[in-house]
Amino acid sequence: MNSLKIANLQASIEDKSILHGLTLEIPKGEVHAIMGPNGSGKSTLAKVLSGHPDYEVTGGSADLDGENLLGLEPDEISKLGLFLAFQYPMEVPGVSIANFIRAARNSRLDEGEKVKAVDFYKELYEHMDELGMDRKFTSRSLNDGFSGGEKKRCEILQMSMLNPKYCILDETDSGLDIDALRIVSDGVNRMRNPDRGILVITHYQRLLEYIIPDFVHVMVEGKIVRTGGKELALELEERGYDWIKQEAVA
Amino acid sequence: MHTFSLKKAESFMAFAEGRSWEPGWLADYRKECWDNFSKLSGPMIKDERWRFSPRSRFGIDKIKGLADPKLSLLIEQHSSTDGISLELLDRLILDQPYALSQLPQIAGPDLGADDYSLLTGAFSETGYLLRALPNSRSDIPLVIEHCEPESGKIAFHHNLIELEENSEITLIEKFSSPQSYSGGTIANLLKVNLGEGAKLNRIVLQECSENATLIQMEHFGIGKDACLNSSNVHLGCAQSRVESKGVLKASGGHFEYGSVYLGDDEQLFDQRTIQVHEAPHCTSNLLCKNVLQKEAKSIFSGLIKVEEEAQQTDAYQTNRNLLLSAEAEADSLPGLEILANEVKCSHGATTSRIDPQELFYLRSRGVPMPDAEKLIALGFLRECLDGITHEDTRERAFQTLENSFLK
Ligand SMILES: Nc1ncnc2c1ncn2[C@@H]1O[C@H](COP(=O)(O)OP(=O)(O)OP(=O)(O)O)[C@@H](O)[C@H]1O
Ligand SMILES: [Mg+2]
Repeated sequence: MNSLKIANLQASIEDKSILHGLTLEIPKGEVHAIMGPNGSGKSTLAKVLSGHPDYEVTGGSADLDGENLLGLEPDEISKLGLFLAFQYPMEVPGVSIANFIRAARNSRLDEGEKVKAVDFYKELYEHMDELGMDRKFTSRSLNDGFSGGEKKRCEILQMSMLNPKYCILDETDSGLDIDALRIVSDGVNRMRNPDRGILVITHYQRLLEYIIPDFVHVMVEGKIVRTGGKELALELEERGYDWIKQEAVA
Repeated sequence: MHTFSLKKAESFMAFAEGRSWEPGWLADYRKECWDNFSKLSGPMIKDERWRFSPRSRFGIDKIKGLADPKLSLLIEQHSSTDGISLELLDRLILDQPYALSQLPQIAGPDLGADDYSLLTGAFSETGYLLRALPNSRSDIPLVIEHCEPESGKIAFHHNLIELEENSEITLIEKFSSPQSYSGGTIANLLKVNLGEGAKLNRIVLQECSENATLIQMEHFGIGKDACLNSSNVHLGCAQSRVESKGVLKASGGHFEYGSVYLGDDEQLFDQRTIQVHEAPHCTSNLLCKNVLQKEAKSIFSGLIKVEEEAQQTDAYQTNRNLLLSAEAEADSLPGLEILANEVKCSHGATTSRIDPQELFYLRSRGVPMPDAEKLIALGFLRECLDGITHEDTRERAFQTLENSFLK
């Protein structure tokens, strides 16, 4: 019950099959990492779990604390407690970060209720300070003209403001400079607790030195083909993916 | 007793007789306007200035009477600054019958609604006159309210703004229905003259009833180094026709015009603009954004005209439309007519729908579908309101827009 449980998940986009029976369970309190070659379907997995309408689920199951996620609307999934930090966050001109996060917070309240502006800003500023974000960002349009690193920080800011039960971070480390990598990792580590499960998708072992995972999974062609401890990431860094691909075929 | 009709000579005659106390110049002016109106040949089959417009929706046949001028135009905030006066014409005509004798020289924008422009000359009983002496500045925004009359009636407002050298004013013009009437018509003719270095910030907030009709005819004459900044928010009216002409008459002038329109149901928003550069070294920038829901329709037709002498002109014109339903429709006719050779001009028009990826992004944070669409649409319109320099007014305009979306 207390896990994000994915079993034999199959999904396709525009009739192209991407996930071929993926099985993975992330219990609360654990941090899992997925690594895998480009195009293996990591972002697809994240988007399918979030209810992206472009993907068609053709088989399998995905449950959050026992509740079926498949077929739910993206906003319903979010309210159940899943958060996806996007690999490529969208730019939304004219929508300020503050208004957007406030709308997201309001959507979690009962009809007609609203978050108090004073409390909201206090909390928002605390999180921004922790992430080293200038307060001017609150009134800027969401991701509009942000640098790659600024976009990723903005994703973590949203994550910390929405208090999800499960977090998926899709290549949040890419595009970050060394200082930003540490700040963002600290942000994720602060969220690490026994009531929350975290899945980080990354290409770089380096991130896993900051966010130390309990398990590392390797994804190839839409499946988890190997699972190990954090030392698996080091091995992948040294040897690449070919040996795993070959073993998977064999 | 005959039934009133704007088209009947006897209606005009009866109206004129009732105003025999007016100064002779005004009676002559009314008569001249009426005569010219009666000479107009009905709507021509192919009048380019009405292209795409279902013109019958602006027909004058449905009008059965004139609005009470005492109720149709109100001054909500007077000027408290020396040298700045804001007055209603009906009062002025009584108190200073000759102060306004330049009224007959007021030309409309001449962008199609000749009938309403002439009828305004013939029948208007009120309007406002805003004057500023050199170097005067109002520190608070002045506020005018144009009130929708009862169903079937029309309010003609004939207005004049004259700002002398280096004066500066912020003016808010509201169009609304404070008596909760529904189905009235407002025809509003405005001429603005900006002297050297004068600056007018004008904000229009239109929240008439969903059955109202508005014909807005505005003509801005911009002098040397003068600046007009006009921001317009249109929310109400079953149909509105907005004709705006900005003429840059001397070097250094600037014309900044932004409009947002939020259409719902079967609302029609018909907008015609022209930026005329008569003098060198002037700039103009026009940005019109429309968001259309359900079966709403917008028409934008804009022209940048640069005369031969107007070298070093910078002129821009942009129309962007966002359609939220399959039935909504936006027509766009941007145009350039450039006779000078050293100019920077551009125009552009786009019509789009909400990007499904943006929508997914907002929804993935828990924001439900209608709210996510609303956020994106408001974000789309926001840029136009950023031009409102007066902060309280900008926030108020945005709030109005947001509330109207919630209904
Ligand atoms: N709209 C689409 N139409 C067709 N194929 C698509 C579409 N979107 C994604 N794909 C394909 O799905 C496959 C998986 O893509 P995905 O983005 O999930 O890979 P990834 O593992 O996240 O890669 P990366 O490491 O580069 O981020 C790729 O081959 C990609 O080209
Ligand atoms: Mg990816």
